[in-house]
Amino acid sequence: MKVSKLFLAFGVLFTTHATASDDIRTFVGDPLNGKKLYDKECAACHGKNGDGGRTSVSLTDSGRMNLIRDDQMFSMIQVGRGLKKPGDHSFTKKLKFLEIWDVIAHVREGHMTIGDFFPTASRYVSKTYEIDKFGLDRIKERAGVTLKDKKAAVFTFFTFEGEEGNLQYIPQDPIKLDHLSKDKKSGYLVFLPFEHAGFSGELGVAMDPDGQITKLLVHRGAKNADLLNKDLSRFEGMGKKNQAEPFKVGGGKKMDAVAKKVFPVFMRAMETVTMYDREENERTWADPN
Amino acid sequence: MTSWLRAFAVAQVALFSSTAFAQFADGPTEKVEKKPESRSWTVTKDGFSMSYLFVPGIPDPNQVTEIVIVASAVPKTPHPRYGSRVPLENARIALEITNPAGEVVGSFVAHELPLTSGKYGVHFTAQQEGIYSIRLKGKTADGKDIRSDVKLPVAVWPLPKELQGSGDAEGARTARRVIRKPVGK
Repeated sequence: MKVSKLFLAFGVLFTTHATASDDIRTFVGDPLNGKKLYDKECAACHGKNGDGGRTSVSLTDSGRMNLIRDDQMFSMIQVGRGLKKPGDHSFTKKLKFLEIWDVIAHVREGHMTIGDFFPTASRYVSKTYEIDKFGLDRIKERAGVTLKDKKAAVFTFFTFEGEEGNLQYIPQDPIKLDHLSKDKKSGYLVFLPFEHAGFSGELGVAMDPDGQITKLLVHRGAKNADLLNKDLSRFEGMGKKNQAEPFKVGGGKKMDAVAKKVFPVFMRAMETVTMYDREENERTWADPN
Repeated sequence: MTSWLRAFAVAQVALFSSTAFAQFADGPTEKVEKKPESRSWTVTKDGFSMSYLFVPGIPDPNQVTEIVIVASAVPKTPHPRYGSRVPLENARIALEITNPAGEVVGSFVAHELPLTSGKYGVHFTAQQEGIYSIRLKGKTADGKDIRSDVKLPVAVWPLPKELQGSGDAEGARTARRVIRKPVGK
């Protein structure tokens, strides 16, 4: 009886969690069944929470995990495609077709997904960039931070009329990239490490093409995530490319402390985006405006 | 000796009558059928026919349900190969599921099952007792909208009258009659 009540309570939590945001959450499989299967087949190597375990291959790193598309992850689980030792990661005999999708749905619950940030975009490209010396100097000068990890993945989104919400990945193919004109660009997204008031995880920084923050989010499954996301939402509309001044939001010392932590992360995201822009300019310099 | 036998006989009669009448204590017992292993339901609407197969037929809370959808188009004139049900291949289908409290649990992508034609599958674990609502939303390969609604009873057995049967049973596959020309003409 107690157990069923507990499940019921969990069910209510799950459903409110699912409808907490106005938009309906999409799952590629059944995350609840996926968790059972994950615990049985995957947790021994990747850790119970997907934080790496004995393989130290973390499944909660949003920047890295979003570079892997669902269909790629399916092949990785099914036959180990793309991995160094495919035979060691072949679950074709242990997991059925729909069960693999359930595991993927569960793994996707462990990190932020790109759909959380640009729900109406139609295309996206993604690539990891390394901030150059000039960018590092600017971060040090304006935010007072010396970066050790200079790399981060940039996701760039484009919206085509009549195809809103039908998000498709565009590979790094010059011909396909040629269709992504700057005027269709809806923004950028970068996932970076973030620590504040007991929270330690990733911050998703979404910006419009001018560098203005459209969304700042931490993973909804994290401790105190709702409260922190509420504070982070106050930064929406701030920021621009070549931002030099720290953020100023009202709300007293509490918000000043948040702003102090957010600004270096924003600067790092902006400099990584600058690397994308440079590559895009080299690619499109001859395009007619 | 006889008194001992009489006492034994009375005890036997008392025991028999108590067990014999106990079953009528709450009136005659109804024979409840076992929950079905699978349940199917068909919805034909706007030129499309969606046949749903639920396994198990009536899931319990926290039990995974496999939903297989056989998606087909209903042509105005029978198709030469498929007849009145043409499998919808390469459609994009998602099931928007609402719990008995009326809250949307999420939208679940249905994947085309390998080595099948027009069959899509999805798993779902219901967490509450009651009747869940499923709204299928999708697009065919040529961009036409597909919509259909179906109910998923969870730990509801026997089923209410409106959920008994198999929905729109009309339209079992009927192949077009082969017209053979007489040889030599």
